Amino acid sequence: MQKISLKHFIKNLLIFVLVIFTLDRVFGYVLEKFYFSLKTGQFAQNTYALNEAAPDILIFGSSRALHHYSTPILSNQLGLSVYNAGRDGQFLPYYCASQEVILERKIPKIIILDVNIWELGPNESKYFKLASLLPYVNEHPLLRKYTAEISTYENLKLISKTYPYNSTLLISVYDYMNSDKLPQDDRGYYPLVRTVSEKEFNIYKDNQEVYNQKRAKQDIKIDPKAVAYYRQFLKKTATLNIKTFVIISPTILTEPNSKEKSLLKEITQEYKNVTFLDYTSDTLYNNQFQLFADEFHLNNIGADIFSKNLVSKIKEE
Amino acid sequence: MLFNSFDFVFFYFIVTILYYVLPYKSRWFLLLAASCYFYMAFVPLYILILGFTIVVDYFAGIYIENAVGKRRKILLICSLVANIGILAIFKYYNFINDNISILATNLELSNNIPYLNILLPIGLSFHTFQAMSYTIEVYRGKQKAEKHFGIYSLYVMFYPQLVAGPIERPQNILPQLHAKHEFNYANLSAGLKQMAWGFFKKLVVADRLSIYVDTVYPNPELHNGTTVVISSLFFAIQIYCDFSGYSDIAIGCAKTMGFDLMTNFKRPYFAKSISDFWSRWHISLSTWFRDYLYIPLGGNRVKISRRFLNLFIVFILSGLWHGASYNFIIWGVLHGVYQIIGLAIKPYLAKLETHFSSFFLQIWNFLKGTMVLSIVTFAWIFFRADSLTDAFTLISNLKSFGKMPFLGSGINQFGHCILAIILLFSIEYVMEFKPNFKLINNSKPLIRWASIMALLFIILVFGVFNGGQFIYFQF
Repeated sequence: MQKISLKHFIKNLLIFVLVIFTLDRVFGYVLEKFYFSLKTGQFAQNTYALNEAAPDILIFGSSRALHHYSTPILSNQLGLSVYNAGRDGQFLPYYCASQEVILERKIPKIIILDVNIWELGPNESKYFKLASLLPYVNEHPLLRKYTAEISTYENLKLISKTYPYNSTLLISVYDYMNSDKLPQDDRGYYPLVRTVSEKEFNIYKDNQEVYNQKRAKQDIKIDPKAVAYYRQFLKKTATLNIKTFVIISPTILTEPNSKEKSLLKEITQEYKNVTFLDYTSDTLYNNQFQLFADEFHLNNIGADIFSKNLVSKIKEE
Repeated sequence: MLFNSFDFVFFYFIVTILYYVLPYKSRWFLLLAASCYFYMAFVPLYILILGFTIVVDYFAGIYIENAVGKRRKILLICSLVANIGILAIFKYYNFINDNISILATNLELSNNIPYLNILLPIGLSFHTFQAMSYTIEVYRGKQKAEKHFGIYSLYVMFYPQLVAGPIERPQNILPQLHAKHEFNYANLSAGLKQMAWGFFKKLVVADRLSIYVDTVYPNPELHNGTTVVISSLFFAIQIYCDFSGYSDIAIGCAKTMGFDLMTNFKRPYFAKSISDFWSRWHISLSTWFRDYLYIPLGGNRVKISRRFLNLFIVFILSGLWHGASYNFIIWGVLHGVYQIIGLAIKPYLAKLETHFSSFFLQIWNFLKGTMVLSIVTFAWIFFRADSLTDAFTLISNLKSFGKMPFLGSGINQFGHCILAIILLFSIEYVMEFKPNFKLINNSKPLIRWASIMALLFIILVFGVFNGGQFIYFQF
């Protein structure tokens, strides 16, 4: 009885492994084709940034970079090609990875790195978010050292052909179905076209007050790995002698000085090619809720004003 | 070692293969060594605490069995004091000290009792309760004292259920630890399927929802009422899938080696009353409290007012079991109140329902289910919030219900949450109301295999693989 059971199990196990292997290849192939066929949206932008972009000015950062730096304005007024490689919800490890890949192809004249005030704080999710690089690992093997940050066995998981497209299907379908509604600009910039109301602004003010009080009581910790990535990013620009701007772009409310913010500034001073610009206390933007789309992002009007002002700064430098 | 880690996958396969390869007589040793390794993967030193309770309860069991008269009771009390003492030191000491400090400050006195800077041993409440059930059962004469020290240690430490249950009873597990389990394809298949279902709940649902919940709950002042409602509902589903997913993996894992652990969850969000909810939620704990606290307090055979009091005591202690904070106490109080109200209105509702047509009864049952989900979700706010202040901020934000909710890190993330919930409840609806409609257990191989493959690929395509911690480990 036990022998029959064992024989039956081994037979089924072999069939199971074979079916899983085949289906993984098939699903992986379909998902890969679908992913790389997208012409608009976040994934298409990722693909363009990592596989094709070779501009004179490169912008890195999170969603605040993506929505704050108008590539048409920067490009027209500076007479240089610009690409905005800002990505929603990303942090320094991602900026470093994309910087390394793009700089292998072309060395830009100027790099703009938009940093969040909490960029150097501990946040495990910044490493998990490197999963968005998984579809590109085959084409850019140097990304493996970054994807290895996601988990110990990440590169082992890449035996699966489906796994790199984990959590991409929904947005791929969304982007495919909305391709005519999504921004078509191939320079990466994604303007937000809504405006914060006064009522919303007042709520943000109240919330911010409570949040700042709470933060003031907290022991602010620094993530040494994030600091190392920050230095790595700046060191690379220094080695290649690229003029670099590290910018904390405008915020709807004044951001109080913090340990993270001071450290961000302090580190840039170690590099001669780097200029640090902090707009978090700039009255041109603070409290001007008409220039913002939400609590964290400038709208298209705000982004245009900010980009024009930035052009002057870049020209000054 | 987390179930949702590659380390566990390797560990599980090695242990299960060795279990069947090794001769029957040495299997207990393999399982015990594996369980020690499993536990020590968290904080190695804490195995000494586990060792202490094992030694105390092992000898207590033997002495209780051999003792007569009052001595039996004294020995039981000694064992319970040792177990509860460990819990009190590691789990409640700082909480009690905090309260003493507050009291002392109010009385303009100083509290010089030092704080303990210690981490809570993982799963402490689970294995302590399991150990206590053994000595109580031996005392009651319903279980013979276990003479084999290794087998008794394994009863407390059996790795699938060591850190988050189900909290087993000796009558169920000890005979199984002595029995010879031959390789059985049906057990292996059933166990692996249950593990896959558990991984679906954990990776596709719980860990996905946690991304949203963990963004909202730590900053309650930043979110409006709509977001609070959504995040609280998400948390209600997250904690269910996190914990029942763990139980499914544990039960499935044990099943592949031929062990039958008790059912811990039965689709609780399909409950039609609060007592029904508790007969479906964390069954191993609720029956533990029923058997060892509620019934000794008088159970259902006392005056209704006393019964209400008993229920209230049980639920406050159930809240405290989860953690030493006022949040958990309020969570317990709320459930106690729900139970009392539910019990008080039960006869009236039963009378009312006799007048309903079958169609209206269905609508009525749906409304009752929605009510249960709502009040349970409300209580979860206290359970999840980082502090009482945060919980009340979240509740006060409910007044701005109706505003556009926060969508997390974008429509993709939120869309995944909704998809995960739809998938979960569609499958659970079938399990609950169409039990004869089988998918992964279908008798036709094609449907069965297709369903298994679909489940695995849903996990692969939609799962979150960031190694998220199980919520109940902290208890």
